[in-house]
Amino acid sequence: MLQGITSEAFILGCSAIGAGLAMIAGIGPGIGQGNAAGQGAAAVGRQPEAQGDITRTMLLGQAVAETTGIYGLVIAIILLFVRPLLTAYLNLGL
Amino acid sequence: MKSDKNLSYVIIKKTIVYSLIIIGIIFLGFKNYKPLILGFVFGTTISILGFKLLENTINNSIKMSPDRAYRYTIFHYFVRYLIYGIVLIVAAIANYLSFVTTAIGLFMIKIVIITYTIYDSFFKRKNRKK
Repeated sequence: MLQGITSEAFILGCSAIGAGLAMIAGIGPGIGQGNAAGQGAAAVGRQPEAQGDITRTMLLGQAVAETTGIYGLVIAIILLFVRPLLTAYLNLGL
Repeated sequence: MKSDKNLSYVIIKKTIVYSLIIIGIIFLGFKNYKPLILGFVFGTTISILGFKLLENTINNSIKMSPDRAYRYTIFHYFVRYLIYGIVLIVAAIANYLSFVTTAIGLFMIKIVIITYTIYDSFFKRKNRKK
């Protein structure tokens, strides 16, 4: 089955699969941010005078949570566009 | 901690100051500094604009019902994620931008928030002891 595939194509394919898996990391922060915003909206509904505190805490928390999604994105783009595995393979000279 | 509007203003101001310091270090420490600085400025600018976008999203979502706020925030998170993706792809493809410094620039807001919070808690603890 793998007879017609060159080593370069196989490495690129595996890199694409790895990039796809890394992109899963982007879903978590989205759901987390959504949950935080929903609970924040409910909290403001219960206690409108605390809106400033809730917004502030949410702003800092969501800004920090967002970067974990960017980690996955960076890994995916490195695998797809910088192609470190293919470069390493070519440098081996096999 | 500062008030709502003031807080985002303070964080953006600190991000710009930190970025200028890092740009100075890159300028003095590297021979081929142009793509590094351009990439860093690109990443930091998008990071600041993303932070403002996040602030707008939160201010709008707080006035909605919990279910609608949940969906609205997730949708806007993916819009920002798409923007970050485009920025990183451009940095990876373009020769005149450094990918590494662009990625570091995107993380600047997080670095500033963490250092600001650590400094704030340390300063408060010191004041409490007095």
